Amino acid sequence: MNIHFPIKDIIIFYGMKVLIVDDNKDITGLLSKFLKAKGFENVVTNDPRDGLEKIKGEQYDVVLLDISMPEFSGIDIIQTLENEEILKDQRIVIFSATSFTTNQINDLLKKDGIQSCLKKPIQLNELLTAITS
Amino acid sequence: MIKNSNEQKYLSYFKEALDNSANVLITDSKGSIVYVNDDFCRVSKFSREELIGQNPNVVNSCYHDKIFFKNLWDTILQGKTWKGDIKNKAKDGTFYWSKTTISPLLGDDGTPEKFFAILTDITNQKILEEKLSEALKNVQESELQKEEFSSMMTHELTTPLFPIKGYCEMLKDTSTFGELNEDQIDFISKIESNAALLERLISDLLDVQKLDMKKMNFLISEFQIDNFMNDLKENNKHLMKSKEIQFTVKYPNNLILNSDKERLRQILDNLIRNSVDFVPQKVGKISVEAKLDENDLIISVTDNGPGIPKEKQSNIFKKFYQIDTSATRKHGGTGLGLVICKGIAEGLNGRIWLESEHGKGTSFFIYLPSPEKKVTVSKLG
Repeated sequence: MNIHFPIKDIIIFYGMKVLIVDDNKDITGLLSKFLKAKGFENVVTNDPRDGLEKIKGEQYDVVLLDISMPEFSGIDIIQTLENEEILKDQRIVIFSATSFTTNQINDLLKKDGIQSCLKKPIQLNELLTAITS
Repeated sequence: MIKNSNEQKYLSYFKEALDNSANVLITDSKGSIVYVNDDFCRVSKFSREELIGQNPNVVNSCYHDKIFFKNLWDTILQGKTWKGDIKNKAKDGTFYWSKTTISPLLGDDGTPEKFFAILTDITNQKILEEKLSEALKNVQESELQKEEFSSMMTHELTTPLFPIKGYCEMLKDTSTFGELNEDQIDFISKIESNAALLERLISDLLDVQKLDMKKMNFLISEFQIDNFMNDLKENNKHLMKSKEIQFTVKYPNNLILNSDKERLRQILDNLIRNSVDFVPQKVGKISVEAKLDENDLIISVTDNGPGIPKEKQSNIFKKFYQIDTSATRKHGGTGLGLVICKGIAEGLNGRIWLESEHGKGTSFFIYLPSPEKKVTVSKLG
């Protein structure tokens, strides 16, 4: 495929570093291809514990975090970061296929460091807006 | 003497009546059994000789803890009557339950001389209670499993849709990922429309499950009917154009509703989609009209489709019901849309019904009650 990278997008997002944490490889594949095409620098992991270590080890501009993951969920990651008092230093965009109640979403959004909560399947452009807003 | 003889006679009647209706056990002040009736022997499977002189502990099943018996003894030693259910053990090791009343017979000094225990066999009742409690536990577990299944299903069914829709979106982003020819654009739009259909079906299934479990959440807020109806018209414009349907929307101006906007939209979208599916090409007509009936609001969706035969109308809000179930049926769907509409309408304290005549079209009506009945409808200014 003949891939074009529109200069305007790359300039806007150039240098922004995004960490994608999702156990589903098709989803991380889709997001990393999309975000790379938009000029982001991506780090991808399908292992939630590795995701936690990566968040603790480096500052990302945005962390895209899935919630339902086996053994160690996105909520576990958030809880650990909160316990270690470093959640407030993050910009986390939650995206999940699990149906949350309005109260659960509001509770998550109350936490400093949680930027938005999106429900899969989301439009990629919606995701882009959430990352960059 | 005559009086005394009558008393003896009455006492004998009472004893007979008691013996015929309950197990009776009497102990002395130290708790040694001094009397048991035939029924007590029959139920406990001990002979009278085996029981006399023994402590009532002989039928102790060890089911109750020490505190239970401490309370019992504390009560009767204070000269009061104790009542409760006791699980006992018969001689052959089987258990039986007795509704038990123990009363002390007080001497002149006010201390108990004897203890009278009247026991009624309630084993069958207890077995039923245990069965009921087990059944209730099973129902609760099954409800929990249903909820877990629903949550798992949401995740598992929705997850694959994300890459399907996402890659389509990327392919359509031709400025980033390269140009496509007309056929390719057409193929992508077909994948997208089928993915959207699948998404709606999954969402319908989940909504029905939420309604079944009474777990559907409603988010009540105030909104203007003008904007709501305009959005409805705008959002359905493309759909109407594709079948050349005349689509009209009527509503009273400046009206504020206090209801769940998204769920109300879901009802209307469902009804409109049904109508679109059934009205004739090019001459199809669909109208959505909101009217105030005193303080209540009635919204109708009317079409000039084939109508619904009278005999099928009563089934139309039933789960998985399709008017035409033949292999050659023209219209798809799961038969869940109207079930969801009904569930939502009722969840909003309203109701939904239809009027239709075969060959003359159909009108669905949604009634939303006035403020006193919880859903607020108020005029602006």
